[in-house]
Amino acid sequence: MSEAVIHEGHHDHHDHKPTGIGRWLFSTNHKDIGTMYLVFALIMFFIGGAMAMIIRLELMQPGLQFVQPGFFNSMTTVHALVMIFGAVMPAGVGLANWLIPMMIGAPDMALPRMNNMSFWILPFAFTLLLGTLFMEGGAPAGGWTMYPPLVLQTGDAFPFLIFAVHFLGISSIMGAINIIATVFNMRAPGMTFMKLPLFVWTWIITAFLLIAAMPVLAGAVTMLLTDKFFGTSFFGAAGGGDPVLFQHVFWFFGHPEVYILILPSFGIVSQIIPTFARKPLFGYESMVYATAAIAFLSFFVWAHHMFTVGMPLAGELFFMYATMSIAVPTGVKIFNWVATMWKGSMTFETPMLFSLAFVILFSIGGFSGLMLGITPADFQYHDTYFVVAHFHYVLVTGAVFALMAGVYFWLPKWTGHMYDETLGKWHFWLSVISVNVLFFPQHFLGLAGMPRRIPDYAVQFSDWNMVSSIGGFVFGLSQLLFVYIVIKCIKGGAKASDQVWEGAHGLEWTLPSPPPFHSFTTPPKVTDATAHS
Amino acid sequence: MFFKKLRDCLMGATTLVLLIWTGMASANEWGLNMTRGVTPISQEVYDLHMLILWIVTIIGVGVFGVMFWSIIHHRKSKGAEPAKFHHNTTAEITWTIIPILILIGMAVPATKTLIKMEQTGDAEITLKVTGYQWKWKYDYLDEDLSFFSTLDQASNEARQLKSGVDPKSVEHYLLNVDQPIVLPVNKKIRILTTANDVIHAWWVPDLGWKRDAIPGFINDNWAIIEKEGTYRGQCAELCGKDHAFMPIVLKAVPEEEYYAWVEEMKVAQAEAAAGGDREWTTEELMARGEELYKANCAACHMAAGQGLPGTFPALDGSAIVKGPAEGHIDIVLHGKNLMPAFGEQLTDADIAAVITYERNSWGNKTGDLVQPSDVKAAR
Amino acid sequence: MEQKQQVTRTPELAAKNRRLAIILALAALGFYFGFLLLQLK
Repeated sequence: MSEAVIHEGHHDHHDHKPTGIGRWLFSTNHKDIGTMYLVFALIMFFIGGAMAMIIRLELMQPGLQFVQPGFFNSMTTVHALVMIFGAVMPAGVGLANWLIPMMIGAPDMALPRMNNMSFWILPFAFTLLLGTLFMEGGAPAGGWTMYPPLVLQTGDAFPFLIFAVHFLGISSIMGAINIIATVFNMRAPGMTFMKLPLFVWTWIITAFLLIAAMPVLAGAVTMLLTDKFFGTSFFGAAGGGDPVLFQHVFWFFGHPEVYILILPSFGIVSQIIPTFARKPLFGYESMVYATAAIAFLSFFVWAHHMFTVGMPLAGELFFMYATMSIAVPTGVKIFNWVATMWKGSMTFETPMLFSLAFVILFSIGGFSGLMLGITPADFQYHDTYFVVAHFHYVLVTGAVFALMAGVYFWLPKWTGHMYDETLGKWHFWLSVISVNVLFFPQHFLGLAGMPRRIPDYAVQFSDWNMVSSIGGFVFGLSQLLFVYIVIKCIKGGAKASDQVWEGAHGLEWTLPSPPPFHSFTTPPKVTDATAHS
Repeated sequence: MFFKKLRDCLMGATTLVLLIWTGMASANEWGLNMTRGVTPISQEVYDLHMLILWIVTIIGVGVFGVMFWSIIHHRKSKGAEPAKFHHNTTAEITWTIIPILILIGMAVPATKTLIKMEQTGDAEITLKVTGYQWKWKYDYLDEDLSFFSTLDQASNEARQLKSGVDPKSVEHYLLNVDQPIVLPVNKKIRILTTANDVIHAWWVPDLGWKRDAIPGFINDNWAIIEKEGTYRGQCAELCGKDHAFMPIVLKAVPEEEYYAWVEEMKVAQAEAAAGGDREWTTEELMARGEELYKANCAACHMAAGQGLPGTFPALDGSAIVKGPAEGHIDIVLHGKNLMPAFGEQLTDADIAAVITYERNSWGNKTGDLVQPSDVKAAR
Repeated sequence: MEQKQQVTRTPELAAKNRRLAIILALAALGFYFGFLLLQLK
């Protein structure tokens, strides 16, 4: 244990942890709460993944071999809700909880009791949602986008869906409030905004997006609830309403939501690449401004999710131009990561492998996204597997790969043990190859005319569906290796030093591995060496 | 040394681009790419698609090429020493301006095509398309001709869960209907889309566009089909459990053939309506009823009338089916909750047949015959 | 219950955190009701 670096936490009397189930149920500790979010997210990832396996199993061949069409639609609906709200978002919040206080030199989050509530709402909300699978009428089957009038045909599951969504929103909003209050009010002296690690910046911006967007979703589903039960007609033409109004309100939430899903991943990758290139992040200020620009622009593009709805020409043109413009700041970020690598001295441990795969594969998702933004072309792509390919590239090879990179990167810090690097590399290579076998052919399927959200298809789509399904099964199985690696690392492994990685910079790397239960109870000294890379 | 490296890079990039070009060209033949289609708009859309595809491919090759170079050469194991630079304003400005220019280059042709797609005026024929759960209704507004178009029987039977039928043995599996639409080539056709219940979307890829069909609203589209042929499409907006099973078949024919077909259809419709004026035999009712049941009712009430507990009631053993005929006729005519009002979709004879079938199938043995005149009286 | 961190946590800091949290929560509620009320007009 180095004496030269300013750290604390070797005072045993500060490290008194609560024990038993109360430690977790009543936790107000950002590390424990972060761990709970991450464990929850991993479980949900497998639940959503199991649903994906059912989907790919049915789609492996033409004809219906395994499930009824209605159940298939429930699978696609709940798969998306679980992955978006149960896996990716909680994993991001879990990382935020663990890392933000350590990165800014704070002892904990600003509102620790609200932090506890934010987490425990999630298992409750998902019990509501997943419970509908066992109801007689089945789980919701109108798509995660819940468009009326179709969603109003949902049976007994409907109120559970609406309330689950409300609770998920409340959890996210409280988490976002906590993050903003923490970063604004609890930075160690000397930790100015422009010294913050990019991960913290991307989370500040994500938190503002959450506060603006989640209430809009809550409003939209409240209107669904009143249309179904309280005689309103927001979305019914017969009563003077408009089904398309829902789509506008939903996607006003929905587009910022996809940036909520990806911005933390941009932050993770911005920590990892400089570390393993042993070179500072290229263009720190541009990265901050580009992220802010992306978030700002994200409020003006929502209708690109509904180009075929029958908008006036002026609307279609506006949303096309606005959508295309987001490519500019996004491109800046990609170029800056490459420039960070350029003339660095790179090593390729597992976090770096996942991060590099992120840059390439997220870009592919970005390319298909740009294509989708060209309105007249979108009339052929919309509601086909081309869209499915696009969002899985940005969300799986994008967000999920970055989250996994982050877990590998910070696991040694959290546990005090190095994970098994050989197994990590196996996980990476199996995943990156199988994920492309799974999703790349879906571009072809969409272009060839295969619609989405269908359990059965015309025979000309057989071959690529078979290939995609095989990729899916291999990818799904490979994730079991990830669980094994994580559990193995928690239980033991080579001792991790404080800095863990040769090129790591930042306050969290000045703490011991694992850090004490309460860290930075005395604010640290912020020097340029401990600020962002 | 620099020129040697540059030459290597250019050779590598050219090879890669050629490979991709070959791949993309063959993709068209292998049915992997978007169709060129058969209308002026579909060709423009195809060209736009290929333009952006090429642009992003070249950008990707460039950026990933630089990355791979860096991964190979700027690695610690090769003894690379990390540089210290972390900004370069010229580079940042360049890689902001150039993408903006490229985007403008894409936006101009896209805008032109979009403006063309909005010109729905001066059409010679107007077709109104209404989406139902789970079939399409077509109204030829200039001709007073209308009919429903449903998934064909062979596909419908093969697609049942665990049917055991090999889809490859069914002609145009899931892309065939009982009654296709026929349209003339080289005439401007205005196509209106709407729906009866939930949002659907009407999509024939060869026409070059799809449009949502929204209940209570009408969307306006147009097409000029330049080549005779049969074009197939599907519903493209999740509309419930049989979203995958409501295809579109469009036959484009010379003008005279189109008008001849219209006349034939009108005659056939008159005959079908006239079928309601006579008495039907038991065999006729049961045979026609079974056909109609499979096409219209089995989707929800299932092939053996067993229904879906919690969602769709069973007909086998149902109080309404075994009770007085008036109640049975009433619910089929006027619908209830999720069940559509089939009075709008089927003729008197058809409804009489399907009700007779239900009352005398599976475990239901009422012995009742319902005649078209009974249905007509109940409307 | 773990030891309270007296060193950095002061009542002033807690008040600052509380105030910011309330402002942000009001913003969120504003978005919620704003969108609802917009549709009722």
